Amino acid sequence: MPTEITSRGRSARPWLWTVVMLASAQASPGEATLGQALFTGARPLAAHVAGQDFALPQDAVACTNCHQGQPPNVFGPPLTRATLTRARARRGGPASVYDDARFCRALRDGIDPALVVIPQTMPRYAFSDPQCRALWAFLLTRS
Amino acid sequence: MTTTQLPRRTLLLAAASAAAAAATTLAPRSARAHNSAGVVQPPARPPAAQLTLDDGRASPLHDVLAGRVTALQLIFTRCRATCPIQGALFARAVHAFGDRPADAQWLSLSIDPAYDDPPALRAWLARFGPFPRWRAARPAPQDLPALFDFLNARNGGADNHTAQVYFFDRAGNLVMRSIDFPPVDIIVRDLRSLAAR
Repeated sequence: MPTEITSRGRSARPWLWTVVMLASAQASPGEATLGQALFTGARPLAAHVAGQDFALPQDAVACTNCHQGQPPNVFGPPLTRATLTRARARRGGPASVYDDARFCRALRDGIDPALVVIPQTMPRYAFSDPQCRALWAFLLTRS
Repeated sequence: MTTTQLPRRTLLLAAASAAAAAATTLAPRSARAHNSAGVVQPPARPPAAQLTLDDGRASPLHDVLAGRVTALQLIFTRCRATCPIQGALFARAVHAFGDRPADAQWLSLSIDPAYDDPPALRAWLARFGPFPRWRAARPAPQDLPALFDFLNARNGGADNHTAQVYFFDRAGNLVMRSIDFPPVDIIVRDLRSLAAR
């Protein structure tokens, strides 16, 4: 588990946070391509409903089902560099941001950076580490 | 579609849009569902509503429900977020439930009557089936707000409806609401329990 960087830590060491974010933004073209395929569902995704043990069909699990489009016709929050890496309070909790590790935990276990459980509507994904990093890298290219 | 059908379809679309607006955007936030799950006591009779089934037949909701035990879910076929998951859950539950008792049925009820005509409803079922006792239907647009109210099924967000399962007894009365995305074994258990009464 990477060292947690709290919002308090960020304000005290903004240069460190900048270094971390720039480092995480470096992705190979192949990684971003894989991430895009995972995001659109062009590459199969293994996922299930939280608390249930059967695999959901592919047309139920594409990220774009919920995270692509414009309000009010989009179900989930937009997934872009800005929305994922801007510190903000979620559901009234302390300010937090995603990083690659927190993003993977949210996908797999449904726990967001503020340690709040993500609604059951979002499937829980069985991403490998390379898949998870690739998806994260691709999302950081989105604005 | 012929040109003579266009005005009628236009009217239907307009009526459905008005009904959807009344059922959703005008609903006070306090009226939105927040997992009002559990036994409905006493059993509640649904409002009168005219349905069109996936095979094109028209029937009052009460006639569709009467004489059977029913697990009902709200969906719309253009829904990309919750509905595909609801459909997968229902498919798993229908398969696990099996063929007995024979008077059990499963019903996907559309909240998008303007778009979800019988071919769209059949396509919805075909995504998961075939399951002969799983039917789909759309209500008449003017009946949708009352059904939303009755089921306490409004929800915020783009999908606009809960992901609960609603259980009806053989008298056609609502007897239980599940939680959102109920576990498959719980759906099966509750429908079997209802059928055994």
